[in-house]
Amino acid sequence: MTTTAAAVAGGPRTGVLLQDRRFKYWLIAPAVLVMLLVGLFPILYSLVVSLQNVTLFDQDYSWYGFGWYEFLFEDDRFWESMWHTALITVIALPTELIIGLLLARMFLGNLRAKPVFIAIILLPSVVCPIVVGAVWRLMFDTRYGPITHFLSWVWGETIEITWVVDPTWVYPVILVAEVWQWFPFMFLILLAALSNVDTDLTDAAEVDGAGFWTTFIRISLPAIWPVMFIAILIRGLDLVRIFDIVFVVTKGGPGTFTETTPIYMYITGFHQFETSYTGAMVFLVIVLLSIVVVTALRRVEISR
Amino acid sequence: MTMWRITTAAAALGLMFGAGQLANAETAGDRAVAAAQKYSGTTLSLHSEAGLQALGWELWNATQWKELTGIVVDQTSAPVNEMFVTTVQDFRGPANFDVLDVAPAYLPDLVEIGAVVPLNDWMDEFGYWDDYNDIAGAYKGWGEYKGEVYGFPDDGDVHVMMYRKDLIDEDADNQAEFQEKYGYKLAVPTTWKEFDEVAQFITDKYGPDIFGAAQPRAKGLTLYFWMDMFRDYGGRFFDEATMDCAWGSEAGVKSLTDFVNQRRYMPPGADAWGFTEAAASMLQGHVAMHYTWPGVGRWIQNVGTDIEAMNWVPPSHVEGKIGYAVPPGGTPELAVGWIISVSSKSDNQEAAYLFAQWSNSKEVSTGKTSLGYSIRDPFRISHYSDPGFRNLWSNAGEYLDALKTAGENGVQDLTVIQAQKYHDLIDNAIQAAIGGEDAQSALDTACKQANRVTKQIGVDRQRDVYQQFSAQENAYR
Repeated sequence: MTTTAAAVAGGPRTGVLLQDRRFKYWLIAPAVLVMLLVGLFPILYSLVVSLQNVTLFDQDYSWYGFGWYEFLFEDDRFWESMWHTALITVIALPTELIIGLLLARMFLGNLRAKPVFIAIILLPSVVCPIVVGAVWRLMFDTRYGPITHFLSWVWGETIEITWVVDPTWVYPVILVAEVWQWFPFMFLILLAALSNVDTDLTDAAEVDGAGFWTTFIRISLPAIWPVMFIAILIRGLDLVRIFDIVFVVTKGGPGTFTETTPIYMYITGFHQFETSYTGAMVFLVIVLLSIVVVTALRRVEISR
Repeated sequence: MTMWRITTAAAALGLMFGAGQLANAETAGDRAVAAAQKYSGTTLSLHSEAGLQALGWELWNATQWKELTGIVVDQTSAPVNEMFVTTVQDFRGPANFDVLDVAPAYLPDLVEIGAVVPLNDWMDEFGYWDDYNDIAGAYKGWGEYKGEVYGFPDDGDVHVMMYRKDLIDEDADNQAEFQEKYGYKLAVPTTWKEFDEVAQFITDKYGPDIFGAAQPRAKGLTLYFWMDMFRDYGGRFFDEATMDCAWGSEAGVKSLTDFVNQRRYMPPGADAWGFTEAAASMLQGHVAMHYTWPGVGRWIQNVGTDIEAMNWVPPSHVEGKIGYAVPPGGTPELAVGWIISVSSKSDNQEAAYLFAQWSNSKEVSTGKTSLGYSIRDPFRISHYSDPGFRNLWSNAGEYLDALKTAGENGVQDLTVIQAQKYHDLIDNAIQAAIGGEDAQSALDTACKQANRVTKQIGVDRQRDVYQQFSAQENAYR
């Protein structure tokens, strides 16, 4: 008897379900294998390389143990780069969120030429980050930059700040460029989320005498929170990987003052050819980020 | 038997014909061309610095070489501070390159990993020693390592000072005012103290229209403007006994502090200037003194800048007003420089060598180093005395004399194993100091990391190479 006949004769539900389950797995297996190969293999390979002693000068594939991890924990420059990355993330992320949210709220109503304005707002996000960095570096040029000229005009005297070298100003310049490029992403996601909030709820709250902020905090925000969380997660991970804008604007300078972890990894891996040490850095960052992401996702699940 | 006689006779005739060709080729360049005929139809891959260097290779060398030999030269270019990286990556990876432009400071690394081949045997075979010995002493050792020649110096990079004669030498009012203020004659500065005083004088009198001086100070370039100053102040890179980093010595701190303080008479924003911005400020007459790579010395006379590829270079507003001199301190940096080498993984090593010999030969290199767009600079004894070059503009002779003297007294970039790591650390320290960090602290941080690098490489191994470097006349003067 075939499985199907047995299922019909003796235990129809169990047999059919078993077959379905296996069949489903077979269907998704190729895609999962590809994803594992593309996603997991590099991570595992980085781990293996980090336990060897490979550089482009001496390609020593023998076992080196956790020596590079010990070196990593003593490497002040690495931990400073982590701090620089965290600083940019912690400032840029809420700034993009707040600007995106405010704009999204403004665009909820029926505006004339709304699609045109949305398209204009989205333009920064379609520009290559390298170009964004180069443009903002020119904008902040000490002699010829329009921002310097504008501020000098407002101040009434010539401002001679070397924006991309002065430690007081390098981070603001980077953050301006970064936020300018990516707040449209937040805006788009949050606009879509806010557009799907049930207006009956907000109307009812208004009728009951709730003010704008109370309605927004008690009704709109909880309604869009799952989408907002995903947007925050995506942008947060993007910011942890920040490279282009910082590299073009300051090259991580002055000195290593704005050197982010990806820039340090690039220098170690591609300028200093320390392949195994870079692998150790990469793996450590993956582990730390995984802990953060998993913890955050669990907390969201629990709150739901 | 008959066939054997015919074959032998044909081979003998062929050898005589070939030898006759080579014997009739009078110059080293001609000999290279003659010998390269058998490789006609081949393509060589050249790895060069992006921008004007690549343009020079394309318009001057590759075009002529193809016409003369039928060999095509394709280029793959990279920015200057990616050149070493991409060379090593290619060697460890696809190994596409045949001919390499190599910065001399990184030659030990490339030899140690086996990326380049010695050229001595080919130099014997194709008679290149006369031309090789015409290379000025300042540069000749660039391509040599452990007694073998691994590359031909092909770019006499040395910093040269350009200054406004009309403001410094020829202005009677300035002469009188300066004498009164500082107690000595206003002239092109020869010491760092004089440089500061002359520059400050110009800035005080002419600023903000004209400032005293400007140099490239952007990340990646500042090390080439500090390493010579450091040595002028008596600094040494390492304690030879222990190989401990010695950048944080009194000489290091003083020279770095003075270097940072030069900004006081430079235009606003000069701390962020790269090569182009600093050169433009001189070309446009916004600064009175500028020392940098020699190519700018030709641009400032509007030599060779009238082609489309050079239309980004601002036209010089100070043509005819410029004097040339050795930079302050008297021991300028032999900054970067290029040698032509042959990749060990090339499938066309002899063809690659012949291209290098021809390109580096007296006739070809003389033409190239006088071009505005090639930014290949004079490096041969014969370049400095070439009548065509010396008459290229009114004081071209002064320019060449300054380059010759600068080269003879110049100091080489720190050349040790994995030199690029130490260069990066020096650059970071300078940039940190420019950004406001205390010079001692910046250098101590860099030294701590440098000592770790030395320990990783192996102290004894690094000492051997450092001693080779130190023994050269142009390491410390």
